[in-house]
Amino acid sequence: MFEISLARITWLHRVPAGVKLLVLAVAGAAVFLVDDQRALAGFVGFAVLMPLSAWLPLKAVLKQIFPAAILIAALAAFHVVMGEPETAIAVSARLATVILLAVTLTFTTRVSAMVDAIEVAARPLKVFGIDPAKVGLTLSLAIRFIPVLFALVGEIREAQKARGLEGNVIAVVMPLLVRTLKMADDLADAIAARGYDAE
Amino acid sequence: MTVKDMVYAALFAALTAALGLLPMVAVPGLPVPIHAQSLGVMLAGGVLGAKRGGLAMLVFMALVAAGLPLLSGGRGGIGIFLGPTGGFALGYIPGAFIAGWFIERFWSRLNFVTAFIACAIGGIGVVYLLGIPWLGAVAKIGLVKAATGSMAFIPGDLIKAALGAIVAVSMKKSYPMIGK
Repeated sequence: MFEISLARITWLHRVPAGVKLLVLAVAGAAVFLVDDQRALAGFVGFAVLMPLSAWLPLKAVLKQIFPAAILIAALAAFHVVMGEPETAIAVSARLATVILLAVTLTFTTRVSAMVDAIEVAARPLKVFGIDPAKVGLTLSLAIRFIPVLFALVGEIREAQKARGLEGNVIAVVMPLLVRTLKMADDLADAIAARGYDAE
Repeated sequence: MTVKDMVYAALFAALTAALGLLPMVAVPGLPVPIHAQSLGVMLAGGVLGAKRGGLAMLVFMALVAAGLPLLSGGRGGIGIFLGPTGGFALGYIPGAFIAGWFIERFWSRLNFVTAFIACAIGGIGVVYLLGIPWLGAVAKIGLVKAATGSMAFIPGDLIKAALGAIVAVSMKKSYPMIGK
């Protein structure tokens, strides 16, 4: 299965996903509460050290953070032009911290570990009648069908190209929708026929 | 949550991921190209209705957060929701729900105009309602500047709402899902 996380194991891979999410949540909230520039520098230092300590591939990381980096640079430039260089530093330091820690988490955590973490996080929802096992099954179903849908898009685009309709979004989306919904109906019947009880 | 709810949400989330494969459409006179993937919000609400549409977007965003590179350009990860534009990404979930809610209300007299209103309120109104204050607060630029900066995307989003409306109306004729 294709995913952003690295194939090789780093020390951060061995840290449980829940712990990494907790660190991200705490650090992400804390960095927005501090104003002191030395404290902000500490957060940025920590956020830079984490991906470095795991030897994350620079090129792949840059690809993930590029749009956010451009936006952060533009926001910093805006604040400098408005004559508030201190706001520029605070805003870019906070956003850089959060983005770097988040990308580190994504590169060092398998999707399966994250899905498990989501299932655990969904446990308290039992009170509202939401079964965490159903949450896990729904996510697994979606992951399973992504390659199927990718293939379907390729197939439909080929067929519409033959009709000279490759540039027409609606000519691709309509058959894609109908076939997906048909597939969903069959799948729901198949699950029901096996006696899966969702209630 | 019934088996059908789960299956429709899961397959529609996968479909939204697949929409990311379609090339960007550059519309003459628009500052930013339109991407087919963001059409997913309006399609989810417009085709599946409120509950299943909102669930589909929730599943899609959960997969992105879990680290699948599903967003256009092969991006993903939890950072998408924490950056300056995180509010827009999160807004897709209630956006699909609200678009679907209006589609259900308009169902018996669904035409291009009512479907367009539903898509625009959910897919643009709700999404910006979360995205703009988030951007303003996180980037410390204030509501007005955040709103002004987001205006560049409005024309493209209106075209998407029109496309979403056309699809919602055609789907009602060929494969109606509401009330199913």
